[in-house]
Amino acid sequence: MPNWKQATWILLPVSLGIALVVLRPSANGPVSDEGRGVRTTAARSQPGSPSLPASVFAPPPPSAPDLAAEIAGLLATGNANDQAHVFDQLWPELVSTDARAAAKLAGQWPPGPLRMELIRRLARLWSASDIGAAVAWLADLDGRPEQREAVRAMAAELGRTDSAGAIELSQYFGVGYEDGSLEHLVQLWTEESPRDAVAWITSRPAGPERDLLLARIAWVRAQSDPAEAVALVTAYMPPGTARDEALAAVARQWAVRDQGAALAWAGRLPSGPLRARSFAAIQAGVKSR
Amino acid sequence: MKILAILRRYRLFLAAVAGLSLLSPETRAQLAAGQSKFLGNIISTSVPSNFATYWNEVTPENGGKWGTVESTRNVMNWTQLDTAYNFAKANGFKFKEHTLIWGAQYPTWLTSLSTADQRAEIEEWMSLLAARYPDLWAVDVVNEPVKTPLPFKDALGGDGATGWDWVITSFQLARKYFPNAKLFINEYGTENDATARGQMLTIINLLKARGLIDGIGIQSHYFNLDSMTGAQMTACLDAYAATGLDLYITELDMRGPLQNEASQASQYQAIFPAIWTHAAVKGVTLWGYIEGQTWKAGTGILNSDNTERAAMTWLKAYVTGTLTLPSITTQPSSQTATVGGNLSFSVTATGTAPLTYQWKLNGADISGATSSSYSISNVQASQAGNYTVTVSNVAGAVTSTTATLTVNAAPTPPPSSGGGGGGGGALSPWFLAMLALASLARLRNNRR
Repeated sequence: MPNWKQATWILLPVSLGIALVVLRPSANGPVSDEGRGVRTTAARSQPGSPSLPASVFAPPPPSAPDLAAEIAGLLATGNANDQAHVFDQLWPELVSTDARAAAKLAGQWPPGPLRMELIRRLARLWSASDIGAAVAWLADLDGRPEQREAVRAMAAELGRTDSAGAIELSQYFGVGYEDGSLEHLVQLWTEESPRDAVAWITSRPAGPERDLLLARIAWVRAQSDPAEAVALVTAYMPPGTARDEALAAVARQWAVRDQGAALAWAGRLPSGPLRARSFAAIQAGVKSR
Repeated sequence: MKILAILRRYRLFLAAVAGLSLLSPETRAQLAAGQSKFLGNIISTSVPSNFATYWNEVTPENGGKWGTVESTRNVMNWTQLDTAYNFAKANGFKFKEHTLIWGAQYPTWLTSLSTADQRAEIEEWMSLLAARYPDLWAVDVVNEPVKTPLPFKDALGGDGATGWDWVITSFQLARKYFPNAKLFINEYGTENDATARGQMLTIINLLKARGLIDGIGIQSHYFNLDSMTGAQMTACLDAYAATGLDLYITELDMRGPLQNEASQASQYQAIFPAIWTHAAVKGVTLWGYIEGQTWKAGTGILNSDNTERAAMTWLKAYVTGTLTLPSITTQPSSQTATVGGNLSFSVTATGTAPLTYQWKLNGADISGATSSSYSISNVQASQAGNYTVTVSNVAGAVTSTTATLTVNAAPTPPPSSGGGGGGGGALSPWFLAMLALASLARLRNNRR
C-alpha cells in the first residue's frame, strides 16, 4: 500500500525542480504567463535550486540587451509580481552585467514613479559596485529631476559604510541642504563617531557649507562636552551671525546639563548681541529640561 | 527530447504543483503572531518577499516623511506610502505612519515660506494624509524633538511658555486630524542618556496632562544600544514606563560592539530580552533586516541572500518560544587505550541549532576539538585524564559528564629465553628489576 502522504512530500520538490527547469524562459523572448516568478535568473541565484545537466536544459545566460528587453516587457505588464521579480532579480543582474544598459533603460522609461524607482535602485546598486562610473552617470543626469533622487539613493548606499563619503557626494551635487537631511546625516555621524566627524569637518575648506555642518556637530558635542563645542565653533567659524547662532545653540544644550557652567561661560562674554542671545538660549534650555 | 516534450506538455500542472509547494509568504506565521506584542519592521520602496514570514507590523522607512511625499509643493507622491500601507492592510498588520513633524527630510520649499504659510502647509499635510489613510493604527507625531532642531517650529508656536509649545501644538493638530490613531512621540539617544531622557519626560508629561499622547517611541539604534547592557535598557524602559504610557521600540538595530555576526547575536541576546519581557513595551519595530538593504552596514539580521545571521536565528527562537538549551542525549564514555593506539570520544545532543562543541581535557580546551566527536590517534600517556565536552547554542551551554581516558603502556616483546637465537629487543622492566634484586642479593652475600 503506497503511503501517499510521504509520496507527496517526495514528489513536491521533484516536481518543483522540474517545473523550474521547464519554465525557464528562452533567451530571446518573454516567458509565458505561467512562468512568471520562477525564471531563469531566479533559479540561477537561488541556493539549493536543482542542478541538472546544464548542457541539456539550461539556455545560455541572456545578454544585456535581451535582459533589458525582458525587464521592459515585464515592467510594461503592470503586474505587481512581475515588478517584484524585476526589482529583486533581473534589475540587479542587469546592473551588475551592464550598468550602462540599465541606465539607458531607466533614462528611456516614461517619467513617473516607476522610472524614479529604477533610477534609485540603479544608483544604489551601481555605487556599490563601481562608484566612479556611478558618479559619472550622476553628473550626466545634470538638470534632470531624477538627479536629486539618484544622489539621495547613492548617498544612502555610501552612508551605510562611509558617512564622510555620503556627505561629500551630497555636498558636491548640492543635495540635502534645503531639507535638513545633510545636517541630520552629520548629526548622526557625530553621535556615533564624534572624533571622526570633528576631524573631517575641520579638514574641510572654510565657507558657509562647512559652517552649517560644523554648527550641527557642535550642537551634538555640546551634549557631552560643551567646552569642546564652544572651542570648535570659535576656532573654525568666522565671526558673524552664523557663529553667534551656533554658540547660542551650544549654550542652550549646555544649560540643559549644567546651567551654572553655561551661565559662567556666557557671563565672560563681552556685552553685545552674542551675550544677550546666549543668556536667552540658556533660559530656553533650562525651561526645556 | 521525449522527456522534455512530456514535461512541456504537463508544465501547467507542474507549475501548479510547484506553486503549492511554495507557500505564499503572506500565509506564513510571523514571529510574534498571536502574542500580546508585535514585532514589526520597515518597508522601503518595495516589500521584501519574506516580510510576512517574520514581521507583523509595518512602518514606512522613508515613504511617510513629508519630504518624500511632497517634495514639490502641492504635488503629493504617495507611491511608497501606498505600498507599505496597502501591504499592512492586506495582511492585517498594524501600520504606523512615520512621521508628521521632524527637523529633517521636510519639504525643501517649506523654509522659504512665511510662518503663517508654513502653518497652513503643515495642516494641509496632515489633512491630506488623514484623508488618504483613514485606518492608521498609530502616528509618530513628532520625531526627535530633543535631538534634532526644528527650523519651522515658530509656525507651531515655538518654545513658548512651556518650552515645548511647538510639540504640544503638533499633537493638538494630530489629534484633530487623526482622532482614531494612537499618537506617539519618538526619539533616539535617550536609552543611555538620562539628561536627554529627562527632557523627553518633561515633554511627555506636558502632553499627557493635556490628553494628547498615547505612546512613547524609543528608537534604539545601534550607536546607542551596542554599548549598553540589558540592565541599562531596563532602567531606561522603567523610567519611561513610570509615565503609565505604552512603550514602543521603534527603530531597533544592533551591530554588536565588535561589529561582526557573533557580536551582533550576543548583543541581541543581551538587550532584546530586557525589551521583550518589559510589561510596558507593547511592540518592537526593527529598522530593516536584510543586510545590504539596511541604512547601516552590519545591522541586518538576514544576509543579503536571505539566509539567517546568528542574531535572527536567536531572535526567531526566542520570540517564538522555541529556544531550547542543548541537551546531551548520549554522554561520552570512559575508555582505556594503549600507548600508540587510536580512540574516539563522541557525544549526541539536541537543542536549537546550530550546536557548537568544545572538548576539554582536565578542564582545559583542546585546540581544534570542536565537533561532536573527538578522535585521538597514536595516543600517549600524557593524554590520559578526564575528558568533557561543552555543547553550546544561542540559548546557552551544557557540559557533559566526565569520561576518563586510561592509557596503558604498550605491551613489550617477551625477553629472549636463552639460546642466543633472539636478542635485539629492549629489556623489559620486570627483567631489569629481577636483575637488580639478584645483584642486591649477591652484594649482601659478599658482605657476609
